[in-house]
Amino acid sequence: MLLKVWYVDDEFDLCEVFSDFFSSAEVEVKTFVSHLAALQEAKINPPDLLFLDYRLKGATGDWVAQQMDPAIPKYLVTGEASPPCKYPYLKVIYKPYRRQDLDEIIQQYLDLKQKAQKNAS
Amino acid sequence: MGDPKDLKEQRRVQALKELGVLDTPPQAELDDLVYLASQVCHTPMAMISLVDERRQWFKAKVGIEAQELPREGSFSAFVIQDGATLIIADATTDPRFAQSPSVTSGLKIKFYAGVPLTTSIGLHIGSLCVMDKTPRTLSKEQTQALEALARQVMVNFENKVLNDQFRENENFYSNILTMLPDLVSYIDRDYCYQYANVAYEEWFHVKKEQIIGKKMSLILGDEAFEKAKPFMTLALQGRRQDFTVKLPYKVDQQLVPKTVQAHYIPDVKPDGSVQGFYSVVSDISKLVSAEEEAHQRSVELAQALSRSRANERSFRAFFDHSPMGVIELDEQLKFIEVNPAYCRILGYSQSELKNMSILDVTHPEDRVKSKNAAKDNTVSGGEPFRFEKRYITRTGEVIMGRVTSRTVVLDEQGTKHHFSVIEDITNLLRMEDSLALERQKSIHNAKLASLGEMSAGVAHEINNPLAIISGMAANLERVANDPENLKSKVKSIQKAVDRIVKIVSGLRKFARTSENGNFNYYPAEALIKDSMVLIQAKALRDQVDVQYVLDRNDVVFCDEVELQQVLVNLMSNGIDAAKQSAEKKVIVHFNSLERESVFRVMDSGPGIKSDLAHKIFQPFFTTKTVGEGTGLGLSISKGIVDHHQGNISLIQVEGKTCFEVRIPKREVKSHVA
Repeated sequence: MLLKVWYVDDEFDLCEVFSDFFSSAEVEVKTFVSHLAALQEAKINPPDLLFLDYRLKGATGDWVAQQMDPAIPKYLVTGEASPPCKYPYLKVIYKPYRRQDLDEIIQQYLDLKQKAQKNAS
Repeated sequence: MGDPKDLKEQRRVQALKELGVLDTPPQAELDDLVYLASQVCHTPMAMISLVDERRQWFKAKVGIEAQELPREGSFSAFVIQDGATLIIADATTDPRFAQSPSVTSGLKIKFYAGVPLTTSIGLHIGSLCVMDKTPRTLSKEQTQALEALARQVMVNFENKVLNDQFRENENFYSNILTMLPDLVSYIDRDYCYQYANVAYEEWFHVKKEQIIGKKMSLILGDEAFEKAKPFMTLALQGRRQDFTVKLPYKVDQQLVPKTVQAHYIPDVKPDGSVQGFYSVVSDISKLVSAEEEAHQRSVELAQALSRSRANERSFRAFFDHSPMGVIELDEQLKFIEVNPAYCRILGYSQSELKNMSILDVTHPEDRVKSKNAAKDNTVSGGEPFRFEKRYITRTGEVIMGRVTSRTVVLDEQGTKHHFSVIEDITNLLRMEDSLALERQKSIHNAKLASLGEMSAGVAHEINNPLAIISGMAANLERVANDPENLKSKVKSIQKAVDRIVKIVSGLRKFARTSENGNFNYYPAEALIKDSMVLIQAKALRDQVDVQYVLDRNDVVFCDEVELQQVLVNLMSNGIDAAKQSAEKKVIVHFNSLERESVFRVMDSGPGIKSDLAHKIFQPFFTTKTVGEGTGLGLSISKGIVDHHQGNISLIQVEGKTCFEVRIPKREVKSHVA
């Protein structure tokens, strides 16, 4: 059972770091440097958990969050000191973040998903 | 002393000669008298015999051919000697004349009767005599008649002298009257001219002959006549009039006012009646005018003197109370005069300074300048010379003075003195320094404000690469055995570090306080790119595309830090404006013209309302919402551009905002890499 975690950031290196950190047998990490691609795919195959960078090329993460299904849990990841946000994120994570900060969140959702699947079966 | 007889004879001969009758042509009246004498006395011969030093000369004669005869032994000589009537009945029997040539030969005269011709002062100049060749005598009546005729002869002689003198005098006075510029006339009781001198012709442009007999009013004009008439009336009453009056004379149908001094002298006859009056009129218009002018000049002189005194008082007041030092120096630059302000500035008393030279109170390094200034001033012919120099006060303090000096030549010997006004500008310079410092501070503060504004974006620009570094570093150990992957991650880390270095370096440069006058040549592209680094974060956050275009890359003579601040301010404002637009674009354009470097920062924003355009360079004016702008950016930018002697202006292009910065070019001496 895989947890689908997406990370949207216009910086490729940060996408790579995210992927390196959190990809595992249980977690399927998918990164997007284009928020438009993310929005497109989300319509077909939405993620279980979404991490959005605030400052994207041509848009803000906040705007992207508002376009996505509200059911998707969303976390904002930003280098800004105090980004103006409208969307009620579950948490705002500031760059540079510690791996364990996100580990805990991902692990929490992984546990929840595993628990749900177990209940279903 | 001579012999009285000789003296008398000399006077007699002199008197004869003064009568002017000797050796003159015959005169009818005298011939008549001689004829009468011969008729009265019944003698064939009669004559007027005039006796000079050596002869008897006959002015008139009857019955005698000769014109003159020797005086010696003559009857006439005897008559003038004796001074009385001489009657000789028969000369041949008279021992005094019996041997006279006139008796013995020639005329052969027997009878002689002669009456002395005696002048009014008793000198006997000759005789009137009758003669006959036969003896005889005269009756008493005949003698008296002869004596009467002799008196008539003298009357004739002396009248002639008087007439001559009168004519001479008349000519003299006539000439005088002709030459006189004054009007001289004789006016009768009918106010008509009986006499008028030539001056009338000149005064009234009328021939003298046309004046005589004419009424005065016709010559003078009615107005002048009526004005003078009261004086004339009094003169005709026998009262002399001396007066000065301004009369409007009529000349060539025009009124010519003249101020005249007139004298009317009544012609009073022996019976007391007044037949008319003599008039002497002098034109004193020029004199009066000259007097008036002299009076006016004296008034002006008095006023000028008064002004001069007032000026002197003003000058003295200025000298004594001026806040500026005023001094007078001689050619050796020694103090002649110093005012209290000068003493106050330097701390010396007037008496102390008067024993000193200007060089004694001049900073040693400025003494040559001071000497040269005096020399240059002399050479420039006394034109004011301005310079600044340092003084040493009595307490040893160095102060700065602004001097205006002028050299004045005082006399014909060329003595020159230097007059100077000195302003103590020490405090002024301190204030200028203080102002420059304040300006630097305000620029720095504005920069800090800009930095604060950019901090959010800057944080992102640092935090993102930090996140990369942090993440990549954490994964290095995991990929330690995968050289390619390891290499890629190290490269990413290096790139992220470079990003941070670049942004921090830009910030450090931006935050640096510019040294005043740190001007040099900087490439325009580098100036723009370095500025863009600072606003890139903001641009990204606000999703505004910032681009630059170079028409021609060139160096710009500027203070790098200051000009970057201007560009950052303009770009930052441009981003704020552009983010509200659909296009979201800011373009920085540079062009290098012949004399100027021109930057233009254009944005796609809504533009600035025209009624606000004139306010935008004022401090604290902003169109941004509260908290977004300090309102100092553009005013500081203007101050910086002014400091570069350039110009910053707002140009609205098709409703879009475009700020243009023009920086004057300097001659490029060396390029800065």
